[in-house]
Amino acid sequence: MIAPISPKLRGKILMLFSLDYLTLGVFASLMIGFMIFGIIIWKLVASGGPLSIHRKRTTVPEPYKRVGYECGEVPIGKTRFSFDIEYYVFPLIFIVFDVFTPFLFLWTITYSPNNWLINMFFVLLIMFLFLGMMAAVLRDGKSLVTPEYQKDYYLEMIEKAANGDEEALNEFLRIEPLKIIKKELEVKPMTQDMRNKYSLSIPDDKTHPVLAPIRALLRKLVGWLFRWGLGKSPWILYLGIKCCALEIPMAVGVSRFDMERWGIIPSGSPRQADLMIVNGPITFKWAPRIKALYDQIAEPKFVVALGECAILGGPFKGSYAVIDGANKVLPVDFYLPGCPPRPEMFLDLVMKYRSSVPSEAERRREKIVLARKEVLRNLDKVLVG
Amino acid sequence: MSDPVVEIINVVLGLIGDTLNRLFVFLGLPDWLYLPIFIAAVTLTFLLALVLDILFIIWMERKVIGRIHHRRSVTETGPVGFFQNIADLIKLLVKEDVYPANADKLMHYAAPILIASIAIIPAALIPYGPEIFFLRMSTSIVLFFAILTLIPGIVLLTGWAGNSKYSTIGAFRAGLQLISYEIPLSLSILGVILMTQSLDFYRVIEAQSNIWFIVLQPLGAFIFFIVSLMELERSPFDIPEAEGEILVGWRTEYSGLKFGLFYAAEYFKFFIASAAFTALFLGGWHGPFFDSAIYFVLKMHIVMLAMIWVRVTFFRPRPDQLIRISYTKLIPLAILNLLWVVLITPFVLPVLY
Amino acid sequence: MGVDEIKDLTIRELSSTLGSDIEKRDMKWDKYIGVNLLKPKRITELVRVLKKIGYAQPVLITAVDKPSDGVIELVYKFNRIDSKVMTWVYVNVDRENPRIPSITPLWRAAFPHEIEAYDLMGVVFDNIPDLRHVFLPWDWNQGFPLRKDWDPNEAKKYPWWEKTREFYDPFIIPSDESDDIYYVSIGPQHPAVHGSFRLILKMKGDTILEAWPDFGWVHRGIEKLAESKTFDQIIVYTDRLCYGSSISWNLTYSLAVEDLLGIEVPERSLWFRVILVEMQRIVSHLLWLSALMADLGTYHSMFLYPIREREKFLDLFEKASGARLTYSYIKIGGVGIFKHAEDIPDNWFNELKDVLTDFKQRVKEYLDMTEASESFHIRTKNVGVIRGKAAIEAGATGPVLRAAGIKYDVRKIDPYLVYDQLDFEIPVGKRGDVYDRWWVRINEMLQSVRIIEQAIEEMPKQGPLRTKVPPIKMRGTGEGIGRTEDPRGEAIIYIVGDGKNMPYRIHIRSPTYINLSLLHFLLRKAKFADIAAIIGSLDPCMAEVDR
Repeated sequence: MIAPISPKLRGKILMLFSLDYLTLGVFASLMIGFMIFGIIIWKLVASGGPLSIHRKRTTVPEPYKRVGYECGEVPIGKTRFSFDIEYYVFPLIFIVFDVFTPFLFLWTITYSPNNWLINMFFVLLIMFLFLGMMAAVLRDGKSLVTPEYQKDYYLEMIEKAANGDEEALNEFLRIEPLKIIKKELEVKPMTQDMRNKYSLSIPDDKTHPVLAPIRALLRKLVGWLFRWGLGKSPWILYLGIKCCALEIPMAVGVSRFDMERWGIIPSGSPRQADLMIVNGPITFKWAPRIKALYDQIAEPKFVVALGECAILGGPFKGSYAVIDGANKVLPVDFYLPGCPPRPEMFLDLVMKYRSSVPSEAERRREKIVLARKEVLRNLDKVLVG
Repeated sequence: MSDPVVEIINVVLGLIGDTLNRLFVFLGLPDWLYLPIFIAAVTLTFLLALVLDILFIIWMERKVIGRIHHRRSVTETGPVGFFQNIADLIKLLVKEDVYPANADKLMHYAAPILIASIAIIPAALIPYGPEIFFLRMSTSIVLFFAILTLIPGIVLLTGWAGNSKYSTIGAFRAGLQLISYEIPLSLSILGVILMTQSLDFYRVIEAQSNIWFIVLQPLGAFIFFIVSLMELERSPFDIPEAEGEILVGWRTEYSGLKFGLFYAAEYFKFFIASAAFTALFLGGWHGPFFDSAIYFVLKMHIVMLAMIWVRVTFFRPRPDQLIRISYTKLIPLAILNLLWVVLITPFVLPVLY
Repeated sequence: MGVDEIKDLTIRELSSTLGSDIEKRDMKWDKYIGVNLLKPKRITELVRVLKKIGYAQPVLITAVDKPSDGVIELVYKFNRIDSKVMTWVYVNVDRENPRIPSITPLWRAAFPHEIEAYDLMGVVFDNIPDLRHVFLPWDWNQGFPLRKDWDPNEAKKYPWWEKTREFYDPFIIPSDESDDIYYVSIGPQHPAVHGSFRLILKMKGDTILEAWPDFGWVHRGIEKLAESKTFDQIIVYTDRLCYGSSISWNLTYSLAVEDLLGIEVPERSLWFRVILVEMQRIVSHLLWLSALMADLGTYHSMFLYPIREREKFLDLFEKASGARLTYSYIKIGGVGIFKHAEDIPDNWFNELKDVLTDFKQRVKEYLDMTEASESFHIRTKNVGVIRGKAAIEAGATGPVLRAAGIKYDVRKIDPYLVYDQLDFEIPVGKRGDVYDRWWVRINEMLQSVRIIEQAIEEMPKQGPLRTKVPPIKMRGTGEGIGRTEDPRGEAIIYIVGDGKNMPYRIHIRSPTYINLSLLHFLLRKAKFADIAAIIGSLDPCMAEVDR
């Protein structure tokens, strides 16, 4: 780097630091500082933060929001466990190699082409070392690297079962019962302790003396930018309940209709999605889980009720197992009729989302958020195990 | 012809130096502070250029993949969809911060920052042009890959920190994959180091002034390419985030800008891996008429296109099959490469430099 | 063995073992044997005899509620691999306390049917491995919906609203004590499960030790809803049984009703029905192919290209019937046409021929592209293996059974429509793994193209497409059965009529339900990354599982 400074100064600095590490140090700390700065800005400006541009703090403490993600279900058992010993052989080999690496690097630098015979011997030594390790791993028939992934006796059993051997059939076609323990539930009235524990008493920051004017100012200055960003990149959640899922989001994502033109990406995890598309009827079994999935999505979030089944129950209205309409379980923002609706109808909805998020859906969303908070605040009983 | 990029950068540096001089005189700051602030200012300019390039790369990837799918990808936001990434970033800024109740809070905040920074720090170690570099260390290759080796550990901790089943499984799969690439990586670059007798990127690029190493050591280049794909967790080695199996993997419990930093870190790694490949095997800044940083950037983007092409083509192996490929196929090939290099180096040395 | 020989053999063996506890029953079909079993407890001996004679699978176990007689009638149907003969066993159990020994320990294929009969009708089976609610929620105690005297207001008492607000979950599945065994739920929201079902997995490291599929997420109660709708109105429900192959279900239902009511369909519509059903088979297999490839990792190429072909077929369907997904086109009495429009649109057959010519080339292209990729072979060979007698015993059906090496296809064994006049082959696999199932389905697509081409040639050019059935005639007593080869397996709809214009009991056998019960066995000792491949190869379509 040609730095236009005086030689005296340069000498002084070089005494203190090596120029290389100084540069690297400044570079690294600047990068880390930049990231930290970004995170701080985000924490301030995001939904639920003190300077969020919405008029009311939009964090709703719903029941499943802070539960670890497991496809909408309540996680079974522990979430941190140890992994099988099967794979640990390879990291061990890696550690052995890691210790050997500095020696390898030093050898390559001090290598001289004049005595290549000795160097050949060295390379052969390395080869033998590795091949020896591989042989030790490969030799054991039950290790990972055998071509048949299933252990041999299992394949043999399948062969015997295919030929009709009674014992093998019984072993292969064994059904294990699923042990379910049902906890006794009681319906208890909600106490103030429980409210605190589940953070149900959240204040409304509409009239905070310091923050409210700052938020109003921010809203005027950069609100347009945030609304633009929110409308132009809707990420949808991978959810497929029934027939409509084949049209939206599947058929609308393929080359013929191409939803990615509007920036729609399907995302597996609810924490990173914005838009949840309910594309089927909600049955008794699905209702708590779809509410759980909805809870786990980060604000701001929108729900589209797609197809007749999700709007009012569709052809299955009146059935004993179907809840007539998704809006009895979730707060719905957009409705799209059809059985199933054509993909072009969904693209029409997306175009409305892009332009309406700034104004109309935003206002609607604030009402919905208030309604959700109201429901939770008035919850006077809860199922406790 | 002289290098136009150097002219531009000289002008920019001159401007920065001038301004800083005046600022220092005006504010009366001590002398020894000058150098760090100068470096910081240059870093910020570099960061700006880097961010613009990354935005371009993300856009390019989405468009190229769309064309391979026989469709036009992002077209609605901005002239050719160019502002889509900016919209994504802004949207990520507005998203709320949700994480599970028993998640490790410190790690939750630290992980994205650490991974994103570790992914970008090696960019300072690579020389982009004969006179354009941040520093010239005699051991820059080793430091480069040593910094990259920090990533598997942090990825494991990230998945562990998000308190959910899918996070943990994703973390283990990621750890498995990231560990399996370390040995072939070191072995494949040993060939290059052997031929040039130095651990410095600058010297390695200088050595390719007559002939590129991809011609001399095709096997080494091939192995390095594959190992880069493993390290970047790109298809076909996107096991930690296989959409059909584990959904998002170790990044499941991160929302908002934390996820944005992971997303950016992925592209930072993409950037530096292509830069390393260009520097080690594709002759760096050497080109037809003059040596220039333009060629370096061009070659880097061609390598990225190649990686995007590989992404859309292959099936995804299982984790245990991936380990099998790495240990039983890549390592012997890398040793073969080493043998080959040892054999041909005495004959090739006069041609270098 | 001829039909009569098998029938004589069956009656002889059954009489000799069970003596006076069985009596022969008059059936209106010549090819099916009907037997009344008077003592429910001897069902296991009867089943043992049938197995010995060579019956293959218990294809359907229907529970029909007869409150006027005070019994629940269980109808067991057993089929054969080598002939069209089916034996139907009728058993009456007491309505107040319905208990009967389970035949699952002898024949694993009966497990899903028995579970369903318990879940919806309340029949308790002794000695069954795992008796729990499958379609209704686990804590359902509001009665058994399919009973005739069940009050629908009971269902409203299920506390689903409170459950969406609950902060605890009442069900715990205890995890074993060892530190490296953990339970994961590949839940209802996951692209690998193609719809909404849940797999509870017990895993150790990367290997699966046990797997339990959990259905019932889209249980809409179609069988109960159909009991209060006329025969015409139920067509709309049969579409939504499996959205990937909706015309096949329309056909199965129409065949069942035409059997019950004795309706003749015109010749031209038989041929047209064949064309539509085979087109639907191609469409369904294309969807399956895309889904499998997306799960294996090549979303970018092999997911999008088959879907592109599928769109061409869907355009043809839309020109004929007006819908892209749920057609309701095949109706009772023929193929449905618009009231004032005459017939199939002009030029439809020419467009179909063009699409088919293009399609044949494309399928060969996909076959080559996939075969040439070595990573496809290592992902799919010897993964999820079930073959030979184990497949028959476990209840596999459709392409899963054919990949297992058994040459069984309802279109050849028990031909319906005009399949006995058409010339086509049945592809059969060798090893019974994911690769073979892929191979069988791809070849089925090519065979379907062959069938369609023959049918276009031989179809009569003039003639009505539908018999008009006056509403007076739409009533029937007795039983009707429609048995077809759905793209996913052997589909059966069994209707019991009692003289009204609504069915008394309609029972739908969905092949996917039986195939997915194989997951108990296929996923043992598999790796986590194989789940997507194995489930994809079984071609699940969840709406027909849960009905």
